[in-house]
Amino acid sequence: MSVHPASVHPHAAETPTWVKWLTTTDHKKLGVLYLVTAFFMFLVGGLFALFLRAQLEHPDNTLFVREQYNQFITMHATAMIFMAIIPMLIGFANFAVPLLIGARDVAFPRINAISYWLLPFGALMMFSSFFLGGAAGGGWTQYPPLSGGMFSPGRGVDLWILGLHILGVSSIMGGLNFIVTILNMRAPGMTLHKMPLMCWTVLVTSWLQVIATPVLAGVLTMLLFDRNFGTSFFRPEQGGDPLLWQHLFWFYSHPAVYIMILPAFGIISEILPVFSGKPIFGYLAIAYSSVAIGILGFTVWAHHMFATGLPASIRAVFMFLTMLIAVPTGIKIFSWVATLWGGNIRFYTAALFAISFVAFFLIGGLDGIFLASIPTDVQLTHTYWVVAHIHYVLFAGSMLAIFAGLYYWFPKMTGRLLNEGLGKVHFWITIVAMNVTFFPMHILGIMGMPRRYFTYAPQFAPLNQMESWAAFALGAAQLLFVFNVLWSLKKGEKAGDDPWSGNTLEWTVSSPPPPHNFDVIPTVR
Amino acid sequence: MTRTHIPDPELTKRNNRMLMWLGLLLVGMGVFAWALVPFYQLVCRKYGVGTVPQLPNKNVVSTGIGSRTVTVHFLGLINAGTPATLEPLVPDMVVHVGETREVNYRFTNLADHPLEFQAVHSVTPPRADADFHKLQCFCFTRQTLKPHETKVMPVSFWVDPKLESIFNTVTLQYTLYALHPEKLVRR
Amino acid sequence: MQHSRSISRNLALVGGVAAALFAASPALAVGGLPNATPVADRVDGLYNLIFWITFIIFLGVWCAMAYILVKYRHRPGRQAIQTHGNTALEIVWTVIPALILIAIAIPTYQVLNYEDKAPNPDMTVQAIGHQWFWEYKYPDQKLDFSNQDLVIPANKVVKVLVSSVDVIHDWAVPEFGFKLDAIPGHVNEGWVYAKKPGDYDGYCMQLCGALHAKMLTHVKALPEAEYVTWLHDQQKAAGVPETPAFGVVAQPPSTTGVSAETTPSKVAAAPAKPALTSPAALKAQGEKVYGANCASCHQANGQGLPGTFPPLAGSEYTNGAADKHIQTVLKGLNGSITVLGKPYNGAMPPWAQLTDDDLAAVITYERTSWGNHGSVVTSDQVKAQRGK
Repeated sequence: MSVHPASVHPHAAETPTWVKWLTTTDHKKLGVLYLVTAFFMFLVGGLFALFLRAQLEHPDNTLFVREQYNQFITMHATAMIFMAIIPMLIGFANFAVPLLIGARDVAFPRINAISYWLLPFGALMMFSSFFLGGAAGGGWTQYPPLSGGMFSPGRGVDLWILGLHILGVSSIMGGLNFIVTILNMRAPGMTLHKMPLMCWTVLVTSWLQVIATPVLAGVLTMLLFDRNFGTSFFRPEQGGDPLLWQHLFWFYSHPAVYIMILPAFGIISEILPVFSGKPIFGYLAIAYSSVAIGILGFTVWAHHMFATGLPASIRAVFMFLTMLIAVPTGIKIFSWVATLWGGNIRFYTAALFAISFVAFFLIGGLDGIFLASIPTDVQLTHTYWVVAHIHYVLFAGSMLAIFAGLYYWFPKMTGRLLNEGLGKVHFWITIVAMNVTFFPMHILGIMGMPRRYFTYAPQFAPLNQMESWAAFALGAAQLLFVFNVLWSLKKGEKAGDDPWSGNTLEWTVSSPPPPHNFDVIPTVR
Repeated sequence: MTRTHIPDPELTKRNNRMLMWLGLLLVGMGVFAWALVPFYQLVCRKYGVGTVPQLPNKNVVSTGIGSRTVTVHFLGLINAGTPATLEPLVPDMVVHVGETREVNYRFTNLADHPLEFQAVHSVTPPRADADFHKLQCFCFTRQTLKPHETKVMPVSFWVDPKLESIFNTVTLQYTLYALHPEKLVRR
Repeated sequence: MQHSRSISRNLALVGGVAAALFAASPALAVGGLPNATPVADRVDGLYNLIFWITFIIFLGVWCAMAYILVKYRHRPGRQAIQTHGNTALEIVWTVIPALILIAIAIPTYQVLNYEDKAPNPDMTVQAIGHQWFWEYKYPDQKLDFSNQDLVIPANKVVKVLVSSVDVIHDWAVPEFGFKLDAIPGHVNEGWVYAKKPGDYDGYCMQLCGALHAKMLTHVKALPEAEYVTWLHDQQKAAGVPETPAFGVVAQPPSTTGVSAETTPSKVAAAPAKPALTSPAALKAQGEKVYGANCASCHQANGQGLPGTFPPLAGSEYTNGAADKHIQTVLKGLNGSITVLGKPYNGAMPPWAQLTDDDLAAVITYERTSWGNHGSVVTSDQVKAQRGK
């Protein structure tokens, strides 16, 4: 084996850093690129949310109304789901999984790079619609006929479809890569039952991406064809049915919500043991309940359609399966609490976020039970109760886990710690503002306030005003986080290899890890 | 580009093989997605939900008239952008199960030019759709009307005695679509 | 490495958020809105059950966490208890949630069934979604309103048929516990029974375009007498004939006929009826049969529909040979014909499934009404014409 140390070619041109980042296939750099890009999209999606909350600050406001309001709700949700939360979680998977399993990289580093680059490309395609006649305005769910050619003329929906296709390819490629990586490239001695729970959840997520996303691609293509090539998948006058879209869309989009939460479950399962100083409680239960959630997730799609007039007997089947999912989810919550029990809990910011995930994701899980039971669902669906549920599982759930992961792995990625003081301020403002923004939405829901409304009746005004102000505070707190990152990159305390006394393989190498991760691939006992 | 690892040909082979199988799965899921379209139509016909039109079933002939009566309500709706009117000549009919009856709908083309129309049927309660047999229906084919023409067209049907006993009323709605609709006035 | 401090601050915030939730809980426990229908009552009851169960779970987890976070916070020299799991505990917290879900599922099915098995309606209305207003039709009363309140009687079962003419809308009245998607090409049905008169807010609850937020509506439930007055006033104003406010304005059923194709065992035998012999009796019965079967095309006044259905008043058929008239009714008539000098090219269905008595009655009625001078026809004559 020949070696070419740099000293042999002292005058070899050093590749500039930015070129290194642009052409990298290193999972660690790609992970960071995913996180940075997706966090930026989180801020964009958040900005749109602030537009909406500014409009909803009082009734009959005129800031963003009618079509424009609808475009912002559509792109807020689309950005958050497909360009922020999913890619941020994939970013963590990218950075951490090869390290966690003792591998040098993923199975297909170049495919990994392509997966990443499809993210900014897809995002650009989607957002270009704002400058090309208006973005899609049918909600991120885009039900036809509203999203069809007659009621959404213009390019917005077509660009949304094409952008989502690109993001879907990115997602599928990532899924393929991680399945092969996790199944084939674990260090010697690391059986499936010894691999970290982050890898379990990423594995299940990857299967969901590979199996479900093609169905999304199919239904998107059908809408594209209906809009542009005269087909009639969703048009009744030529034998189609608007409900077909709903069934096919939700067949993907329900597993998609598990794509958005399972890696978060993995992150929490890594962090809580470290800051409790004891192993995860119920490792096998958490692992296999993740698999159960993944499988069950394919069977419940029609619970998004309980008000569409489906016969009661069909709805009842979906209700039963939906309620079933609560069991494996509950197992996890109890296991995490039991992980904290008897521990030696150190309240670093990463731990605060992880603990608050358990406390607040619980609310999102519990309010979902009201939506699982058909009669209460019929009363609460299409109202702000659903908005509350979505934001508790995705903000109080996924985002809190993402923040936990950022504070936890930032030192490993960069070699420096994020500032704890700033971190705690970011944490507390986020927690309080998040609850004041989203909890009252439950009350608005039972009062009957519909969602996707750009204005509302006076009785809903006081709660809306409170939520809008809290939302602005929530947004401001995230800027604190951005400042913390930028400051800590230059001035943060040096982390060393293992600032947290972690118990997984990434903490055995330097921060940041060497390009090849491990000098010697470890053998796991 | 920095190589971050030393290639292992055995591992590469295993990885590529697994990728190939996953690729096949991917293709399979793609086929599955498109196969869901006819599958949906099949299931809808069986359970009578959706706007999937019932196939003409002229061969399903009533085997006898029962004493049970069912009220059938008839509705006609005009889809947006369709310059026409559609009304049943009677709002409802009390029929015996198994009895072949006929209801007529009056169509009028309000436009100055000929138009092709398609009527889309929908039955509620959803589970009654499979028990509502149409022997003859203007909804089976497209209808062309001349400018300002009025046509009356029949639906010949019978209600299956198997209709669940809790259903006393069945509603049949036709929504009329012009196949080349007028451009909607955008508000 | 910094150590965190001030657990009391953590607890204070946990307590503060929990307190805020407690404060909000009465609003949640009550279910929000007054219940205006028996369905809303039951949904509210189910909501309360689920609320208390989930609240107890929430409280349990939060109290456990608060205790754990205080008791097991880092202390110098503390050693964490190295547990990996506890099978018994894990089984318990798998089985108990499953049982709780079953406890929720049972009343859920009951409420679902109650709502699904609609009682017989006293009347029917259609709620039709347009971009961006609601159209309400009363099909049996021949009324049609757009962009106005829906007026219904209180204490009556109102069937609501929901549909749309453009995009998907949703007709929802939260105080009724009613919500149903309005899907173009589809018709969905639900029912409402307003427990008392009142004014109730309705909304469009499915994103339907630019003015989705402006598709508000109201339902006014009036006391029965007031409703009937309102209805008849509307019918007068619209120039439509006054009809009963309740019940279906339907033709009475045709009598149980024995069609030529059936086997006796499959058909319930019709009760024996006294023979109709007098012309007056025939005519009276005939008018009923006519209304149920023929008027839809030939109209109550026998004038038919120009260009489509030939008239019976003054027609060659009703004034000509009885045999030909009977055959026409028994077998139906297809293809080009001329009546009173005008061409018709329609399809009249056969009526052989009516009894001889009914056929005799209706044919007699046709031949002797509207100035016609055709002969009376007996059921024997009809019987004789069958099979010819």
